[in-house]
Amino acid sequence: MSTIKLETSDGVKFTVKTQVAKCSGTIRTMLEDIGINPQDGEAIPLSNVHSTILQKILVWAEHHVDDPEPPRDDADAAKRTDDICSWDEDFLKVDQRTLFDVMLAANYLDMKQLIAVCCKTVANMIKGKTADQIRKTFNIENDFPPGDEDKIRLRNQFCEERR
Amino acid sequence: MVLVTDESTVMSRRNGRGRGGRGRRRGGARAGGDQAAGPPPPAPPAFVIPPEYNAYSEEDDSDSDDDEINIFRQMALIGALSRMQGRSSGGRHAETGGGRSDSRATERRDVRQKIVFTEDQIEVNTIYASFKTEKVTEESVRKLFAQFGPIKQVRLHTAVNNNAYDGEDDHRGMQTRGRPQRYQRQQPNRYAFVSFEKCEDAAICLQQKFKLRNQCYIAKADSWHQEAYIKKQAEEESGSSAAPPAEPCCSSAPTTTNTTSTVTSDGGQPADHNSSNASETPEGFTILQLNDDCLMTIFSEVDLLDLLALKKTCTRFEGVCCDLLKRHKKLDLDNVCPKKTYLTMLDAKNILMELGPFAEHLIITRDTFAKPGVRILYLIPKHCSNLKELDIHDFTLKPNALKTLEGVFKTLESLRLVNCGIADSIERSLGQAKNLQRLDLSQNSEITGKCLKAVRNLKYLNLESCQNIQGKPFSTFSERNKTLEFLNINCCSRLTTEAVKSLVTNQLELHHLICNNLYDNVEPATMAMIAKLPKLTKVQFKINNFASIDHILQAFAESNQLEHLDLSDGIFTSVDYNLLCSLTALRELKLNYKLDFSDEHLAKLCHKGNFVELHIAGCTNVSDKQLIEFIRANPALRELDVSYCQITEGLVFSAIDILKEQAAAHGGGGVTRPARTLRMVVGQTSICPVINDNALVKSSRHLLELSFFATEGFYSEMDEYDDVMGDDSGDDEDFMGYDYEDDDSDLWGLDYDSDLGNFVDMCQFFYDSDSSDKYYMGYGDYNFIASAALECKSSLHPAYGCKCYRSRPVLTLKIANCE
Repeated sequence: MSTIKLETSDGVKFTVKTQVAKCSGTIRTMLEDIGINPQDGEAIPLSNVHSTILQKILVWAEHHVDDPEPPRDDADAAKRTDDICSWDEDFLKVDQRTLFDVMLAANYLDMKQLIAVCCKTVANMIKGKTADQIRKTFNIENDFPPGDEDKIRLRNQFCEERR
Repeated sequence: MVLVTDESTVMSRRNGRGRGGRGRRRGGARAGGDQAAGPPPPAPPAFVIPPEYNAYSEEDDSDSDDDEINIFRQMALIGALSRMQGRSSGGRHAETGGGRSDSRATERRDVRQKIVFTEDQIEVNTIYASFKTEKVTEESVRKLFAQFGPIKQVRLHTAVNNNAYDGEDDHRGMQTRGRPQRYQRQQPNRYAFVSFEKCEDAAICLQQKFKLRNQCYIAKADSWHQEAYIKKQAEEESGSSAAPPAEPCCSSAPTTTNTTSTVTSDGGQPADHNSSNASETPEGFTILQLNDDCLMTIFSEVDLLDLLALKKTCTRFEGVCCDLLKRHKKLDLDNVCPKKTYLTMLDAKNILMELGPFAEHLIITRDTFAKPGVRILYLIPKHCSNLKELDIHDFTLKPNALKTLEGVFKTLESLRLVNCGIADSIERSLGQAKNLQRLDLSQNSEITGKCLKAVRNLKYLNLESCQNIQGKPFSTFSERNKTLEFLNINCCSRLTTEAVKSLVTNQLELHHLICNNLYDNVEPATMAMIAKLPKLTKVQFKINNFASIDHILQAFAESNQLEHLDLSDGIFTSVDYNLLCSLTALRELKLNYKLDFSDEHLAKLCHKGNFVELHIAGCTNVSDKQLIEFIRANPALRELDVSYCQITEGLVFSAIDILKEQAAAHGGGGVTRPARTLRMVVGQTSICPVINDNALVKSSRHLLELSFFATEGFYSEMDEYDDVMGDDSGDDEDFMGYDYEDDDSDLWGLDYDSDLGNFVDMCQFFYDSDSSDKYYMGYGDYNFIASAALECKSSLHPAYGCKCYRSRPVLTLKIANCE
């Protein structure tokens, strides 16, 4: 079983099974297309990923390494956010910061399945809430310029015209 | 009878919406019975609910599964109530028990103190008033309404066109269904929104509707005019700025730059993540640091209503949401929020305001709304400027409603007005729709076909169940519009020989036809002429009488171009199946519920060998053995519907064997293209879903897909049969309150006699004469209906309770007759 080395933004080096690393589309492309040779012992730099996050992602990848490819015909499929498997649900029971870090890293590493699971988790946090509740949930500041309804309407118009 | 079926499907649909909605609905019912249970009114609730009312609510709740049904079984007795409010009560009242009349007396006093809510449970302090004359000034309005209480604000408008918000529609100019309607109607010239200082005063004012009727028509203004709502919105907009500790990064994050454009992360990571290194600022990391791509993926998982909430959260989200909203080209209001059982007009307005400009295909169904009024449709021309397709189901469209909608007709390519009570007066509106290619006017039994005069270049026309379509206008249409590709004239029972002849000579492009096998006024020989249509390849005969269709099939056998034939149902008619064998071009055949179709006939069909689809649901005389032969003989077969058939699991396994053989023979080991999959529909047979666990079945799923859906047939369409077979005795049904479908139709029971005693007796009479469920629909405040039903309850047969629900059926009462 071949392994490769990955180096995170904070300089930590991970030795990972090639198969697991290939869960990441980015790494797969590096290995297969660009022809980086992992046998050199040279670590692949992942400058956007912190070691704590990579560790977490590797745990996920290890667990899902044998998953079949997802079906591609999801264009018309009904939106479902209640189909997260229980392992993933436990896996993502983390604070928001970690969740978003994982998501960003997954985005960078091009791990579609992990992104999808993260997105569904966040979507479930959003569903059924009012704007104000959402702000509180995610600690977002309302940065709309204070104004009366006319301004809001103007802004909507702007959106409409941007079409 | 058709109506009843309709209703039951509606109900099953309701049930299908899941239990999630129940709580909400129930909540609504309770809130109606007990005003204090709604959002707490600012003033202490002075309106005390008499015990009976509470008993009602409980009764509602105790009905576990019948909620929906009872919604429709509601009693409506308004006349009595308006009397109760105003004039002296009749003899019946005096007869009732002492305690009860006491409580009613309390109510009569207290009712003056209560608050009225909109359908969104928002307190009403603003009312809408429309005036008949132009000579109205702000002062005169103020003066008029000051008698009810101090006025905060009066906003007076002039109706520029007929698109104006016009609550009076339903009130004046009311005509019963079936009579000719005036197309042009005097519109009110001026209307005003009057805000009272106190909600209680507004409630009192609304009660005095009758008194004011000579000056103006008044109604609750919509939720968004209400002060309570505006205040709530403003709070939400500004957010509770004090509540969460504002994170410094929020303002520093490059949010504003992203709002106007979609940032695609091509390859590298957007700058905002790099700049705010997660490890350095652990507390400051929020959802805003995610790039737009991630946000977009997250937001595409939520429902539309959630999206609208997100949009109001902050500028960054707004930008992302706008980009997402633009993708909603097809907008089905029924699917907007699966969690909500019903939408209110406010929801509709909010949705259409946000999405209308982007929507190209809009679908509006009456069932989606708690209080479906035609005014909901008036939102369409206001907000939807780019519609290409418009589907409206089950709303009653009066001429002036159509006129309002005309604004959007100009750009439409497809228009669907199913069961909208449309008459020939739609002609004018159709004339506006110059780009129309697809038109569906099914289930509008009033149109005669004259309205089709104006349309040109139509490719798709659906006139199913337009039973009044006449031969002559149809011929005229056919001569002028020769581009039809699809035509459905099922149940257009008045078509004539000339009409069919004209169809045959003119519609040379027609390739899909759905019709009856025989029309009363069409000679069989003429009917067979449809086989001569040069491009006709798909035909469905809805067989509704005993007449043989062999002569038509014979004609098709001669032209031999038919690829799709549907002869489902119609068990009365025997078909000469030998004729089917001579249709050598046939690819798809539907013979559902042809009970006389047997192995022998199937064997003959086997010889053809080029079937792609075969539907023989309910053909119980077909055996496994012959079906296996059929599968073997038709290597292109993709769909086989054998639901309700007498088949065994052996069929599945044999089918898999054959499919494997054929795949091997066909593919030759190469993976040039994916092997075809045979979809087999086996609902309601001896094959259970457990078979999917079988290893062989599991491993062959790419070859054989099993569906456990069961195709329903004849039995569910029995109603249609009666209808078509000239059953004219449906008058009772109309009478039995089904008119509630019309927002603005008269409420029969109350018009019948405004005396409550008479009404109760009449209800009794109908219950006795026909023990099936009857629906009496009413209008007015929940409390009105509740007390009227109470009145009624004691007199009626105990098996039939009088139940009141606030949720759905609120209808317009013809007030004019109450005098």
